[in-house]
Amino acid sequence: MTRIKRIFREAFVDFWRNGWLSVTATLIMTLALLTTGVFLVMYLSTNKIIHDLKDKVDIVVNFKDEASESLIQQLRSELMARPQIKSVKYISKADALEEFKSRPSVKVEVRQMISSEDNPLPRGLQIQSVDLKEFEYVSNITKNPIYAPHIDSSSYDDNKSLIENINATTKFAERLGLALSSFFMLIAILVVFNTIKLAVYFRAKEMEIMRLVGASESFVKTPFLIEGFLYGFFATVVSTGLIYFTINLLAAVSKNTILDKFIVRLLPIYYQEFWFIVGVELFIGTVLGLGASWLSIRKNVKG
Amino acid sequence: MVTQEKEPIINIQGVSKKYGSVVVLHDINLKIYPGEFVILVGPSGAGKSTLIRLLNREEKPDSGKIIVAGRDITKLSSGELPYYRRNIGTVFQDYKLLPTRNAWENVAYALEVADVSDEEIRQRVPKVLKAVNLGDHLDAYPNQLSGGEAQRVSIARALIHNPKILIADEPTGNLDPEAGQEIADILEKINCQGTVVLLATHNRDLVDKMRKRVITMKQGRIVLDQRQGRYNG
Repeated sequence: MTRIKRIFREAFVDFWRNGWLSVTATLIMTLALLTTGVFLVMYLSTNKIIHDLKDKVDIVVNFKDEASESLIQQLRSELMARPQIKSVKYISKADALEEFKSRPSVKVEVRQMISSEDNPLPRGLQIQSVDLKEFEYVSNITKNPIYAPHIDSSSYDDNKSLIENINATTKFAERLGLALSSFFMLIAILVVFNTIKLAVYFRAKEMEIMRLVGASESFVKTPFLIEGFLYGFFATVVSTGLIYFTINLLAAVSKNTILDKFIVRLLPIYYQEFWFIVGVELFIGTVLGLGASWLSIRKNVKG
Repeated sequence: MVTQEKEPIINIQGVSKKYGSVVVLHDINLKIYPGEFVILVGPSGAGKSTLIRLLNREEKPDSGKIIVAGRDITKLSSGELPYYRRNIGTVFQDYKLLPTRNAWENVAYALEVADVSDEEIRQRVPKVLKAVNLGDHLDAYPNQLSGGEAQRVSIARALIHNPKILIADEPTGNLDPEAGQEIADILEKINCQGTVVLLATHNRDLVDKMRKRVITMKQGRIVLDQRQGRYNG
């Protein structure tokens, strides 16, 4: 017990008394974790925003009035059988009318002109899919000769270019984000590794002295590993603080600007995923700090 | 003072050491007996420091045996090494103090690594600091100490385990004559209390004044072993 207590005390005393060395290593590590944190926040929020957007894109297939109810239900069952399709909602003429009337853009005169007895609005199926690619499938099915003659219109073609746009943008954003953050992470890892290697190198003589006065290998090495962990731990605290502060500052500053719409969506996602982001940063910080220390010690101290 | 009847506490038998193709120690045979004060002299490159590094087990000889207190230390495992080192005290020319620890903590460190209780550390450290004439400056860091003070902290650390053997490699090398003399006095005092002292030095005045057993090395060989010797480097 005394031994464990002492090893931890050694680590904390060294971390504190090596002042600038510890501060530098922690700050460099903070940069690495900031990259990770910012990427995570952006990735999670754009993902959520795009997801929300996808939910709003749906296809409405409208049927001609002479189409039988059973035919519509047959198409509905067929679509529902496909697991990628999230929901297929049947819209009756009454539903369509209600929906039409509830649109704020429809003028009062027009609303009054249409009554439930004289309802020109068609019955339809509103289809939502998990995956935007599925809309292609929906479009093909509606072209099937069983259904095609009874179908009045489909919003697929209207939405096609929008859907394709979202798809392409999503993919591009994801790839660019991943590529950029991988690149920055790689640089950050190299810099962190080198900083810690230098820190350990500066203190290789100390380790030599410790061994010469009769310290066991574990008594010499463990405090250095704990210091490596401390770099990661404090870097997590600092980078979390910086991201938290920056996001809240942006939210305050960006009111009534273009950025506001994005920040307003981002903020709840950030709070919701806060501990997940902290967890990932702490994990990366710990692995980097411990790993770099371990490798440096192995190189600098002969067994 | 050589008492040949006793078992030697250090028995070096046929030790050779090469660095690459350079032979630094050539078939060294040396016996040191309990209670002795032995001074190792010789020009730079004579092999004094290498011999001390072998005794310290910083290095291993290419051939030969080094028996210390009945054990061949060339055969120590890495797990046994810390225990061996706690039983011999070593003092270095450059003091080898931990820069981020103050004088007190540097001495205490040698006890901490041996799992000595905090209570005992608090009792033993002041005594040994007093023995090397250091009572003040306990909170000073190595860079705040004079050379003589730093060396005395280093000696205090070497003595903290009450070792049977104290090895000092050029302890006065970086000190002015006055501080050097003080270190020599402390080493003699330690020897009087029964600890074997092995002192490697260049300091002619010190050697001539002390009148101890002097072993002279040249080009990796022992060329002279005098009971009450003088500097022949």
